[in-house]
Amino acid sequence: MFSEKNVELLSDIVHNDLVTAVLETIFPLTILPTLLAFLIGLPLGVLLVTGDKRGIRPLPTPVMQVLNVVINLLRSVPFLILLVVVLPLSRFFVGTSVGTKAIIVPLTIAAFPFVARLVETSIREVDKGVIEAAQSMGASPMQIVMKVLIPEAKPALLSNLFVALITIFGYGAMAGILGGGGLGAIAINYGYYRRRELVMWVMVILLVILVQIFQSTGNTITKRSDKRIR
Amino acid sequence: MSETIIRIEHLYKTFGTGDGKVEALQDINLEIQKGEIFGIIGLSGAGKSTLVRCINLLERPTGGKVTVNGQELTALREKDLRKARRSMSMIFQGFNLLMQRTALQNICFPLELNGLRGEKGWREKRAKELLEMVGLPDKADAYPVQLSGGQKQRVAIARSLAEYPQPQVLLCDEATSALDPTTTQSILDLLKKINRELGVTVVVITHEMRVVEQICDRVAILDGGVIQEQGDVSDIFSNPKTEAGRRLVMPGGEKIHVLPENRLVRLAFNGATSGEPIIATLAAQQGICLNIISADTRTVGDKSFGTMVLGLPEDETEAARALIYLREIPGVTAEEVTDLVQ
Repeated sequence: MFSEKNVELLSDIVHNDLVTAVLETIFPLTILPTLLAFLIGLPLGVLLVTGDKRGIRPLPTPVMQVLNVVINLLRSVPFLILLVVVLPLSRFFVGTSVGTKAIIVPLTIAAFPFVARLVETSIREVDKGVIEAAQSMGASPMQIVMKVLIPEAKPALLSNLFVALITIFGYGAMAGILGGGGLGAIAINYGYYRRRELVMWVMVILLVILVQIFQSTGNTITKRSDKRIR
Repeated sequence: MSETIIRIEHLYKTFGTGDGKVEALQDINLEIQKGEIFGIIGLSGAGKSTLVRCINLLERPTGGKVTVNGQELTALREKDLRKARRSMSMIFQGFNLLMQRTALQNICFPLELNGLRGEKGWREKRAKELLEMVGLPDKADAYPVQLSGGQKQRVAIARSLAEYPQPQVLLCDEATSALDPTTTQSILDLLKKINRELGVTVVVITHEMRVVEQICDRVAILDGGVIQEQGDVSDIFSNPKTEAGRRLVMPGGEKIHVLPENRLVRLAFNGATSGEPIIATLAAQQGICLNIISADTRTVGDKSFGTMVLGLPEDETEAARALIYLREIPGVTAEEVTDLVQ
């Protein structure tokens, strides 16, 4: 594993590709799709709670059923299969179906139903009494969402944002198989296809370190935002 | 002249359908006067919380009419109802403060809702005045988690008064039930102050006798979803006419297992001076001895409240003299009873 050839290849990669790969892993393959997934998943998750039979603005049961089925369906498709099926769609959304940019589309589509469920559970945790208090003051459903549900669920939402971020990070690394960039792609291309295990392990270690950084950043931010902690 | 501010007519509330149907409220009729403190008392499950939620329509009645301030709420559409709710406010057993907002921001909340959006300085000034009024001027930047139960309820009370123009009705849903006796007392004093100084009509829902005793002018006893009796607090508490009323006023139950052969008299203490040794005096001065069958009295300040059942002497003239004596004591009503034993 530590042969001269392997070490040389590794140092070559570190010099030429590592910075780009790390940046690709962090931004287009993790943070951007996470934000896009929240853009879609947050309103959906809120709707799953407020549109409930006992919610603040019940929606017709068939509407809720369709919503639930679609979310469950998307969540049950394995990511790699979704990746293959959805990738052609990327041409329509981002103009290309190859490369890191194209991977953003399937990542977002795979993640938003998951995010919707995370948002749903966060919002459901908001104390019913507080919602009732807002209603007793004449708050409209929209005001309750914007001024009660989301702000009161903020710590849970932030905590789940990082759960989603790390899940998407994992998906992004996997997407190296279909031509996505980043650390995952290097690990797969060199380590798996070319049996350069040293390169693979170094990339895996870097991925592990990044996950640790994401998680501890998430914990700090969540804790700091929660006013229920003295 | 008193003016009715809340009128409830033939109110019904049913939960569920078919076999699971629960009749939570049945034919409730109430008139609450402007400026009074009205108590609704009942044991848990009596329907109190449902009833108070039917006043601001957080719970939509199955039938009947609710009119507040001349506006028939039950006839309003959701949007107009939201506007109408602004003239009423509510405090809760669990305080229901926004946990992610400071005390000051909590008090500003109703003002943010009503569209006075741009006037942040004005909102905060009003909130600070209210914090001062509820006795927490230094807690503006504290989060609810940093406050004690009593302080949280004070913030909730300040929040309930923040709406502009100021709400005319304050609904209190077991507002003191989660608090210790000393804190309860201070919150009750605050509610009384708000009622007297700001003229806010207060509706108090509680299962605690002493809450009603201490601040309410009139009271309705709710049991099994039905109003059993209503009237002035002193009348109801000194002499409950219904079974439900007696159960509440005398939680131990005025049950006498061995029926004495003598005639019985029920003394209702309604603010008599607690220092007076009534029965001892009767014995010492007139030589008449009464048998205490049961007693359930309490002292609030230096006044006595509650009831006592006495057995009268067998001798008819002594019994009559005892009755005359008892009836002359101020703050005590004496009444012969026959329907006591069940």
